[in-house]
Amino acid sequence: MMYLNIAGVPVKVAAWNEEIRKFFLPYSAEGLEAETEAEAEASPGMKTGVEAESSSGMKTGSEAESSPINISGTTSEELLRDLSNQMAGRNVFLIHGSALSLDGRGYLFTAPSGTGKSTHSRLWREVFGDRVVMINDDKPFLRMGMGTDERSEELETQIQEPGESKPQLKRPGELQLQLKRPGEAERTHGKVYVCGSPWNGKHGLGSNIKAPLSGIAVLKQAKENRIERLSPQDAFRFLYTQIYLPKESERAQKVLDFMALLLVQVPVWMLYCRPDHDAVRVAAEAMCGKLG
Amino acid sequence: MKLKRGMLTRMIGDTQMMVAADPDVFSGIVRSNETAAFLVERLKEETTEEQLTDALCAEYDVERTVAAADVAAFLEKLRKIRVLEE
Repeated sequence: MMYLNIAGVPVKVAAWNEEIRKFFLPYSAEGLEAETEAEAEASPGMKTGVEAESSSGMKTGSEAESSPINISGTTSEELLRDLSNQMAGRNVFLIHGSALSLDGRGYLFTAPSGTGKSTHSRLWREVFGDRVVMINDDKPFLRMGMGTDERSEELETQIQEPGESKPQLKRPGELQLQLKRPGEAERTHGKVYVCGSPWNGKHGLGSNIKAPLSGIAVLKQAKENRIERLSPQDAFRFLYTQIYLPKESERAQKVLDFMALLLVQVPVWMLYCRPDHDAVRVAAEAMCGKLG
Repeated sequence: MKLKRGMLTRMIGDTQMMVAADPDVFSGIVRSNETAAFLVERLKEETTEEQLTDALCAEYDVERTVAAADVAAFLEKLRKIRVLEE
């Protein structure tokens, strides 16, 4: 059994080959594996009993939330379909797009395939350098809040702890970082997060990190760079075609309910753009505020 | 008559979005204003054109002939996109 943690959700993969193992490696959850193996050792010869025991040992009330999702498939595509369907049941949603973090805040670029999402993200990396961290170049997950999951703190902790090094000189007009104290469970509550996933596009750009989502841009190729804010209704129309919708009605309804909350909280923009640095300036000025 | 099984709705601000999770049922988005959304809600249970008109008249200050015409026109639109079971 391979144990993973994807977007804060424990995931079990029953069967895999070397290729799949490497694919999931950055998302492996060592702690969970060790814990469950110890349980298995504690009750030898009771193979069928182990499963029941480990699940009944979960804290009451949150069992459905904390018990691992079992996924199966022979290719990463099959595993993705299985996972996305089950994740929707946990209120964690796959979306087609390129997501990055700038100064610890998450931004998502979405559009039909071939529009230039990855190109636009690359342009952000060129303009902002190492202030940009790629979250996922193709299929990140979105979710409301991160609960008390510790992995969600990684990105912010990394930013807010200067350690021994000198604090960075703030350039005029540079964004103020929102610093928050770690360990407060409620501080992620009710905020939309964008999370990395192993499905990170043909260039393999992304990492196992999360960031609070500060803006979404729907990209459209154009001769002039221009950005406009979309109404929640128009935003729904564009995002609906890019978010993964399970065929099962109850799970699909969760997607719609999430979108209603997302559209209240996160500004969605239509970015008419060329593949150049000026497009980044136009986008970032609107999406992130003035950036020196 | 009734909405097809698998049709889902969600209010986004003052607009109701109606979609189907299964594209074989319906692929697209129906955007309804408050009045149309009122009718869509009633179409989630088995109903008739007559009952819809009654409900509209009870809810809104509207003449019955006007309400009946509105209901008929709205149902026609829903029939055209094949989201009704009759």
